[in-house]
Amino acid sequence: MGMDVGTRSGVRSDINITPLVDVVLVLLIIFMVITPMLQRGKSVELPKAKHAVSKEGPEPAFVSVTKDGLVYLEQDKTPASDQQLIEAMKQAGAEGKRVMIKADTETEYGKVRPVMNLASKAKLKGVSLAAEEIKGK
Amino acid sequence: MGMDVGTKKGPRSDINITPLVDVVLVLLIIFMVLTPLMEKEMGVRVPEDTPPEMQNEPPPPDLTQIVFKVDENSNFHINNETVTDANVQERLKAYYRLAKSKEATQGPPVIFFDADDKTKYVSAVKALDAIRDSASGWTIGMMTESIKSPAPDTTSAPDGGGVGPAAPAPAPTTEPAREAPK
Repeated sequence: MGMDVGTRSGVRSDINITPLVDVVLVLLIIFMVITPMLQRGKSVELPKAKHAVSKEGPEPAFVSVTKDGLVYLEQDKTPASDQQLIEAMKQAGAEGKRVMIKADTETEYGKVRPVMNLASKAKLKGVSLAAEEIKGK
Repeated sequence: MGMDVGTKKGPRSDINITPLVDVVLVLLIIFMVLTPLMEKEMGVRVPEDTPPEMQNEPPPPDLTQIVFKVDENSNFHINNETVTDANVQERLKAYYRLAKSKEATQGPPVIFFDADDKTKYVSAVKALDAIRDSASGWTIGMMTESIKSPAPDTTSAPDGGGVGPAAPAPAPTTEPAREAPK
């Protein structure tokens, strides 16, 4: 029973991880809050491409085309009308912003082409297609 | 042996947080990895919106337009030629050289792109990627009005000099592309 004394008075060998847990939890919460903010436009599954690049310049205006072919401006809850899209693209063009088209991999191309047509009507010279970069090679 | 039991007597009052830490760390790492995967982009051009009365200028007589078309089965066509995954790079490079050799008279190499309405968007992006892959100098023009799928015909090829003007395509512009290929 002399053992009991030993357990109380010796050096504690386990690390106190409470501060570690605190820090990690705070970091986790920060990332959880920031990640959705970094994403612009609707959440879609982007196609992958080898030649996708990051471009400098002002934040582009986002137009998203979802899997079911609905077109959204930025993060609006309701699909945008053609007129709204043209207005938004014209404004983006006037402000020197690019227009980024985020379309889902499963979208039919026929749903994406009208958006480009509208971009042309909005007197834009080009648009950017959002893609995920294939890493490696 | 009995000693061990003695030292652990009574219920442990502190919660075992090791699994919590494990889970939280894994979540943290997942978020840290996902955050830098920001969206990348590909620049393409759209036809300029010209008033209808100005649209009918005849193109230069030796103008060769290159039209890249993806059909609904995700097959690629360049002008009237059907290309496969295996030779698409080679064909695109040949067309690029042809276009580049005429740069002085026709401006920078432009390739028009269109895909069938029923094509999955992922196939279209794959095709665009293939074009970018073949040469970085292409200006990719998106056709905003659909054309009929060309009949398969393997007779026209750039080295044979038999590339006729293909389907109606928006006229290329010679201004520097705002979305210049990198």
